[in-house]
Amino acid sequence: MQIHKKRIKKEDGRYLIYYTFTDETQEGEEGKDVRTKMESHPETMGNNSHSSTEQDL
Amino acid sequence: MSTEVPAEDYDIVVFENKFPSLQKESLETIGSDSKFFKHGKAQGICEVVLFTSDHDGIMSEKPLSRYIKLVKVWRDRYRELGAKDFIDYVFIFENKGEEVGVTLHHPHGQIYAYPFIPPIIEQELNSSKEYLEKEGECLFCKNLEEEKKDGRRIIISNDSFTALVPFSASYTYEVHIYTNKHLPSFNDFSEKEEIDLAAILKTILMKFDNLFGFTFPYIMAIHQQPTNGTGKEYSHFHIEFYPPYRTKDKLKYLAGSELGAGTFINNCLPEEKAEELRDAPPKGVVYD
Repeated sequence: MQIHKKRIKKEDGRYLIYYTFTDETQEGEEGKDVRTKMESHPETMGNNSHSSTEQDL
Repeated sequence: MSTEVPAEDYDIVVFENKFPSLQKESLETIGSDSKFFKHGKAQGICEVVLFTSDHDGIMSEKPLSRYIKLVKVWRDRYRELGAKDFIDYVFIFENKGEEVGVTLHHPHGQIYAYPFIPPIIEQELNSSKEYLEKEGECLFCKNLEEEKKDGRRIIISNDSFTALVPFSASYTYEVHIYTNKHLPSFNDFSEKEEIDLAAILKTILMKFDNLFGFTFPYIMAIHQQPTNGTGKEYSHFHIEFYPPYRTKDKLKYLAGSELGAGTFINNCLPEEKAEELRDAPPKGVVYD
């Protein structure tokens, strides 16, 4: 199972990190990759820092 | 949580606590210019970890994959927060249930990244260091060896972990989970150890909830190596649970002896409580 993270900055300056997971061997409700659903929320896209860069906010 | 997390559906979320006890920015201390009263800056980081987007979810009913994800997130937070030069200790914990003062029912835990090693953990590490210097081995490894030799307080184990009621339990249903090998921290885990920890955690939570037929409250504390570079030889990863119930309908209150004298009164034998937890379903470690 691979871990992924996406960091956003909230309006008050605090950071929030969405963790998602991909697992080729596991399907179903708990094994799904929810990144697509998350990204459909426009409010999560503002001030994004890409998770893999570990940018400090 | 809807006010904290913009997305309705998510897997696991971590965010900075809105009312942090410690702050990232180095604040000047206030309140005393005295040389007698010791004080320091409350610099650090306080995070909240949402274990699931299921607001009313019960963790013991979640599949193993949810626990594996949580372990991976804990590892990541330990690494990221511990890499900061002003952080000496990353303390991962969970307060669960109204009985321990929690009003938010959404499954969640917290992380405090301290600029020092907290006193209980420092005392524990000092004891282990002293034992290592005197006896040449890790105190926790020795403790686990003795517990296994005796066997009566062991609840359950798998290849990588052992769950037990400690010989010197302060709380009636206190449970510790130790790595079988000398692993100082999350940094030393293999993927199998992540899965094995997830499995034994899930199993213990199921046993807790099946013990009296209600969701068992507890305080959970993860003890591991400080992130200031010390203690690799004498830190031993383990998790401690302190459930407040001493019977199905009686709570343990910290009173005169505990708070005034630092001496816990426990009128139950840990061997008997371990047997109760062994008998509570499930019988084996759950891997699904």
